[in-house]
Amino acid sequence: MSSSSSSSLPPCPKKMITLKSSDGETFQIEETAALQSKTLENMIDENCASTPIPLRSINGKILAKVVEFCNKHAEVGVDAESLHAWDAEFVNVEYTTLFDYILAANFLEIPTLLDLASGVVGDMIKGKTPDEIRKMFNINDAFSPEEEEEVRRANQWAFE
Amino acid sequence: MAKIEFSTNPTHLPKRPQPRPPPDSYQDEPRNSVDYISQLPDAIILLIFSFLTTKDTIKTSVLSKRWRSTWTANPRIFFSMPSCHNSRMFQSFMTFVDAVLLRCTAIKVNSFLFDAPFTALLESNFLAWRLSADALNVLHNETIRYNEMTRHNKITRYRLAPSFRCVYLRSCEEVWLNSAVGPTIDKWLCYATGHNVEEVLINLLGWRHNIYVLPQFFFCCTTLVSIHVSHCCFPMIGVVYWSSLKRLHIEDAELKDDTLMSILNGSPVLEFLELKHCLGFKHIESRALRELVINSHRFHHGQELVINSHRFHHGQESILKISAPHLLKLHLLGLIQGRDGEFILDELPSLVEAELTFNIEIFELDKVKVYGDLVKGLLERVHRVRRLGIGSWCLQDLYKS
Repeated sequence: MSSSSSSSLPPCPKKMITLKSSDGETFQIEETAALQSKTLENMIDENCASTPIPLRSINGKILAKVVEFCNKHAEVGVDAESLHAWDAEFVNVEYTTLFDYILAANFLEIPTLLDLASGVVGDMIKGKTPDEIRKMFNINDAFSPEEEEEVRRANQWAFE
Repeated sequence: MAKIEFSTNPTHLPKRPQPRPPPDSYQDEPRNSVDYISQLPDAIILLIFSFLTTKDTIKTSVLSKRWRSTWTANPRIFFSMPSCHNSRMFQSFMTFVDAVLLRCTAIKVNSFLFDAPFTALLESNFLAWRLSADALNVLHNETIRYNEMTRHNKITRYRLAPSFRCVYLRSCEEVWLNSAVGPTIDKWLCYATGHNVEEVLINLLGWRHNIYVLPQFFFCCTTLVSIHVSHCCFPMIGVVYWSSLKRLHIEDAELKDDTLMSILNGSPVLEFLELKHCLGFKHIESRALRELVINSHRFHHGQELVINSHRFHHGQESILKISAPHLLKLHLLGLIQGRDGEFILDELPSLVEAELTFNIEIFELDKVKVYGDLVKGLLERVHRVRRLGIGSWCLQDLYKS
């Protein structure tokens, strides 16, 4: 394809919106990518997206990753398999970061990211004993042995 | 220009990322000394639970006080039947399910999934009897179906002689099962439909003789959006009220034409229909359907049709006629059984995608041309689609004829 033919159709200027993290960093994201977030979509619909949108519950490090996720999932022509591989790499992070993704995706209402990150946490729990789960996630306020025994007895059928 | 794909191994199931091993760093990192997971709101914990079986969620009840009753609000009920060596174990599993349902507090049940497939029975009998040949009741003439089932279900742990399709329970236990299973599953389904369930899966793959008959009230559940039933019997049904149903997947069932007609007429917004290893119906007609998959043949009505491994009745006139003017995607897959079966496609003006990866066993050489003509006829009907997948059997048959 010659460059003259492409220049005859000037690309429409991309509409950008600005997001501001809890620690004051700003991020530009194309409106088409931002529409994956229902929260942002509502703000765009209500014309509240012309000034930087403050996201007080999401820090710059996490917001940068969320923007990266939305951009990747807004790309056209990515086949399902490579997107799947990209997603797997995206959530290959420390579990505390996974929780940050989950909370950010929950606040911004991005179902694809919410399901992806929650699924990984689910896979971490799957088939583990309560002790292993406690250790993995530092759950410290365990029951006393007597209380635990009582809960176990109440749900005995699940521990057989 | 139409895109043509040649495929011998079609895969169209969506994949989720593989489970990743938990990070090793959590033990050393000081910032990980905080219990983040217990601080998550209940809504998110329940979302995480949606990836677990109900049994795994109940195990979290002993983690700490915060977790004690969280599982009871889970709107997704998912029982995966463990290996059961005898009827006592089945009974204890059923008691377990009953006890769970009593404690569930969710007002609405989103999903009710009961997955009790072949492998559970196979494993149990394998352990109990060590697969000694005389302890096995073997169905010889279904070798091919067995092989196909194992391929689809990726059963690789057990290497059975190819003629073994299924391992059965001892007869006394089977009598017990026949009398106990139906009312028990009915009771669970009644709980689910009473809680406005949207998604139901019942997989009894490998159970002998499709012993479970779906109850009439199931066909009047207007909240259902997605149904997947495997190895269940369809009774004579009057009117079907599946007014919200969008996806229907039926596997290994005999469906009379009027049963299928009632289902399709009672499912006005059905978009996807898959009939896998089904037999008995001759006609699929739907104005709503967008995708139809007939995998080893049996179906008609909607946007997507999957006919997978259809079985034509032997001896009688075996024609499956598909008329679905709004159908977007058509899949004919698997092994088509029945020597003289024939597909007839009405005009499918909306079709954009077709997959013809089925195969038919040829017993007589003079049938080669007939099958070649069948494939040609199908191709003529689908030649306008944008995306066409052709399997090796269809290609060979075109070539031979």
